[in-house]
Amino acid sequence: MREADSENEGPTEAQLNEVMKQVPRGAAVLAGFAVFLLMLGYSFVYFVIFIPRGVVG
Amino acid sequence: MRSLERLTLAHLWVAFAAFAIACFFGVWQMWARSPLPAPFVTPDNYFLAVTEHGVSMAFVLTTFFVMGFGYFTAETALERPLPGKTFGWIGFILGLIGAAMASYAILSGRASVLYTFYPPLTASPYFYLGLVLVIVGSWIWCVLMIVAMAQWKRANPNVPVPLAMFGTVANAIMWLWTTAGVAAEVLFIVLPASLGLIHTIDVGLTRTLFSWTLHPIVYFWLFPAYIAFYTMAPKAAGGRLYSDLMGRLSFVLFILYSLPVGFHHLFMDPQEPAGFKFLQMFLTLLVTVPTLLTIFTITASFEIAGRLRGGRGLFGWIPALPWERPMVLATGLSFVMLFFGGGGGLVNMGYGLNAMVHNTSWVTAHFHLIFGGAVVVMYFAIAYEIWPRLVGHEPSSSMPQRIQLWLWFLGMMTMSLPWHWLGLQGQWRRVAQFDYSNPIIAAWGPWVVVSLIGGLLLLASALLFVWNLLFLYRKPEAARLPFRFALPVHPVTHVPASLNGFGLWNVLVAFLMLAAFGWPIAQAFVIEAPHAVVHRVDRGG
Amino acid sequence: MSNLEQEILRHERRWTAGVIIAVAVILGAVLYAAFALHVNPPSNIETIDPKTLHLSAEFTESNLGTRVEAGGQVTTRIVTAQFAFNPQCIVVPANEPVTLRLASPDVIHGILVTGTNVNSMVVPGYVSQIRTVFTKTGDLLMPCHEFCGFGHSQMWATVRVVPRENFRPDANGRVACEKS
Repeated sequence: MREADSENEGPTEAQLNEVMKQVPRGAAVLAGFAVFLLMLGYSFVYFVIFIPRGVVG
Repeated sequence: MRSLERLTLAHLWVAFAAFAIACFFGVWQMWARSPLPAPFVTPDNYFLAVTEHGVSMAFVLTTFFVMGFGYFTAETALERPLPGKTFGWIGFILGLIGAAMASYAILSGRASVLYTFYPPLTASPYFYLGLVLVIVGSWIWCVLMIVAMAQWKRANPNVPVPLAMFGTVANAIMWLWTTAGVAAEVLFIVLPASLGLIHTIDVGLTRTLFSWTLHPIVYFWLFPAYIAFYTMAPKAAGGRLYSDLMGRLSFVLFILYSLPVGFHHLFMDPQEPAGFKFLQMFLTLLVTVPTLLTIFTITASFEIAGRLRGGRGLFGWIPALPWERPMVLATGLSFVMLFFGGGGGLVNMGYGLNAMVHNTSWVTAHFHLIFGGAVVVMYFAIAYEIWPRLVGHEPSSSMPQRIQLWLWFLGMMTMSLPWHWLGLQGQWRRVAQFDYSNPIIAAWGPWVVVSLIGGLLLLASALLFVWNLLFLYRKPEAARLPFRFALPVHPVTHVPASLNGFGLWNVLVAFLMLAAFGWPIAQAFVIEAPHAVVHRVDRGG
Repeated sequence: MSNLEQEILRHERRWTAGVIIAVAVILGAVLYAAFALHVNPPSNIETIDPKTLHLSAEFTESNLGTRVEAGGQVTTRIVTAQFAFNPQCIVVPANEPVTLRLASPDVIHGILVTGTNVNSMVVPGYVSQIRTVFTKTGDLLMPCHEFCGFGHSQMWATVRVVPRENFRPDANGRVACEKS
């Protein structure tokens, strides 16, 4: 929505630099956790479902 | 209304009209497959519906959306008029005639071969010719995108191409490579068979050529969503793009690794050599990389936005984000569906693991979540975002947009998640009616009904989407502000030439395609496999 | 390049390293399954003329179904055609290597066996070969899982896995489902 435009006259260099001291801490944890969950799900399918279904080929 | 707006709107309306009609067919299909009594259930009707649904969603919605959004991006990102607009209209007309021709063939029951063709099943020539016209129309779009960028670069030497256009042209170049496979298949095998010029075909070769196209086509569909992630979502969130460079890298990695991987659709085919299945599986693993890079970069971009809005601590930036904005909400919902759809995809691509899920509902779950979910929800968001520019009005409220997006997400999750479970139970694909008296199949019934409910939510969402576009944009636009894309944290003053053009990547793609497909295609001519007889489906065959 | 830009690239590089590790783990899992656990999709590239399948030595009507070969190996031959399996029911022994060989005289079909990793396309012009060991006894469902025309929904077969002592080949080494 257009109100965002005036807001994006936006962050001053100072505000941006202040924020960049923290970034990407939160993103790394969130994205890292998501990838961890992904690997966990994959492992579950691999060991609990796939392997017990036996050899083929 | 200026001519660019008309060109874009024409494409988007064709895309969304096909989409809405396909949603009706999708719901009916699920109703037919469920234990609940449904009307008009015959195999002929069912497979007609599946063909219509697949062709509309996979060929019409996508191609026309990509083209329309591409024209819009070319003019707004490069801030100069689109060159060759007349050719754009010619491409549109060709595509429209082609879509109409294919639709006619399908709806008259002469092309029930599904959107993946399944030779030697052979449909009416109008079906294939129609799709050829759509592809030729899209090739015109590709050329215009490449020309627009080339002209801009000449006028702006040593300046980085705006990321949104770089992504659009990456998609155009990838599409030209992608369509070569199906074009060869249709031109040399399928269309001659359909016209009665040949009566037997080499099925292995035909499938190999189709698999050339079958994977990169989904990245053709996906590019607009990723372009929106990088160049629209950070701005909508009120922040900055964390890294413009990673965007460019992701786009070129998609070109490289979406193309030589089609064999992961053919793992279970006995005519493809194991070594090449392995190679293409490995390359498929590499195509997960640009997505994994993207989720980090976009999450970091959102973190910037959330912290600028006062979010503190490790996760405080998340609630601080402006979730009431459709583009922001859609990105969040998209990432959730990307998690599930991508996870399912990791199982699909696992060579041996594919045996557990091939041609089961697990596959159906995967592509509905990743394409129907993660990608199409961004199509909605892009439409909402650019609509004020196209029609000259603002939406009177964002609530109907958010309801529509939430309905789509809830519907997609409800419909698709049970399909993972059902697929592992052995529920197979493309079935008009299940024999629910069989005890194994009877256990699936309740979950099939759950999926159907999800489908109904999706239909409601699809109708609300169209309603929103038609009736929500009523407020006169405050001022004709130029459309702006997201800014990176730091202004991009210089990028390496390899990330500002595609010469190097074209060479690498040629090499990779030769390595991945060279022998498998040549094999067909070396071993001279016996041909199968053409089976026509357009005369009750 | 400013300090901030360098820092951003450093974070992106670290994330990329993590991604590469995750991808390598998945690759390892797939390779392990393929080589150590012998889970491999059918890639035997064996051609056969679909138009004369019924006249071939191997896929002629009387040779279909399960047979114990001269060397003791259990082989089951199945023809998938529009719109039925021939035979519609097969018997296989539990806990013994079984080789499935399938061919199609007409269009593309495909099979899976519920609860197992048995899965293959059946492409006219080629023989599909799958070697496996069935561990659970009972009746398993083997549908045609690839669209093959309007009768596709009704095309399925039964795989009857019987314990070794119930697997009794006749004089020709053949075992068929009992007529009920």
